[in-house]
Amino acid sequence: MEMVRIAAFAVTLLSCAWGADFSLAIGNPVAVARPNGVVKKDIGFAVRGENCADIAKIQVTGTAEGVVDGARRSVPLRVIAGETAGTFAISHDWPQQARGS
Amino acid sequence: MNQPKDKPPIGPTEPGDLPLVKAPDSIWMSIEATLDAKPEPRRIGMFRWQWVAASLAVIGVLAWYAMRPKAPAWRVSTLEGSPSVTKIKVGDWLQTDASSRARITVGDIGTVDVEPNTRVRLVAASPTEHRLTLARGEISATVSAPPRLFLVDTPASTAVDLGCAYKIKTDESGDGVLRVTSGWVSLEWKGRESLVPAGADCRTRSRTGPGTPYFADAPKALQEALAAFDFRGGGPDALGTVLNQARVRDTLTLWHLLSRVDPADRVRVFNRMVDLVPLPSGVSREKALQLDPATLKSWREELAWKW
Repeated sequence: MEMVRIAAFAVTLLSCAWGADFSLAIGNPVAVARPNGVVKKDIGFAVRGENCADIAKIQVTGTAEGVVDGARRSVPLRVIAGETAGTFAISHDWPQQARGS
Repeated sequence: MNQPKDKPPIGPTEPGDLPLVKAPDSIWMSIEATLDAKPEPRRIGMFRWQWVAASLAVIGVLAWYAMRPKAPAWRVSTLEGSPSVTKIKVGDWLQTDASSRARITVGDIGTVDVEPNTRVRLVAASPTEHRLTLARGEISATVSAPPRLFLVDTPASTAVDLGCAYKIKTDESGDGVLRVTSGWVSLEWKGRESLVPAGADCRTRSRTGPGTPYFADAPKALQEALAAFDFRGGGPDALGTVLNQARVRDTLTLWHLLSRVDPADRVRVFNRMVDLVPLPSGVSREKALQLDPATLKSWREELAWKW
């Protein structure tokens, strides 16, 4: 039986003028999968940059890191820009049976 | 002077004095020829052009029949037991017994699993509307489609898919519950709307329609007080319990209550929401209490980051 354990995920901000109070908020998928919106399914979670000088220029990449049968495994995540600048939907591309820690 | 007898008299003649004149033979011959002649048969058939027109009409009817739009039908497969149908057409009912489950393939936009003891009917299957009626029982829908394309009517609500996965069950009177597992569902009934996000439930009741949504992990006391407020006339006491029990993510419930409570209680709800989550910039207290639609929408979108 394959043992899958996603230990962590990393979201990298590629471009942002960092401010002293910069923060990254993680939210429920429904924060970006809005009613009548375009982003809908298979969203693992939502990400929003806060206190960024130019929030429209934020670029995000994501990778899920985990262990499968004792070996490290990295799963690139799809990042979908939300309707509001600086918000992103991170797709649920890691195995369904994975458990975070 | 006498006139010859075979000639007509010349000049005025007294009545009764007209002589008999023998008809010429040529007249009799003409009459006899006419009587002897066989009558020409009357044309009772159709002219050639009429046959051509009739043939074209028949061909047209046959071509229409062969090429007519097929009645929309969705495929039905068995998950458990033995549902007797393999497809369901518009107007058809599908009913499962206590040991049967079936899966309906909803065009090319998703699936609906029909649980035991359930009765559903396909109402519409057009490019602009996919619609089921759930008379009783439970279904699980997983749909990937533009908002408001897939709808499920129950006796006390219409579940409008906004891009989501959900379960909905009801009895024949309309008492039931919706549980959303992905995306959003709008539960609508006679002008009342409940927006239910993933992780939340919403009850329905006959003659009342959808209640107020709440997260499935909300405190039991909140859930019970909310049911009393929505359906049993719980009033300010039930509302007080809801407000006291509410957590940050229960602002989903409070956001809906804001427009459902009496004006006198609206400030209580607003104040509790602001206690839990500070009012975001761009959302004014005055406009929120006036139930300004744009303000409420903006506030909900901001609150969703806490849900």
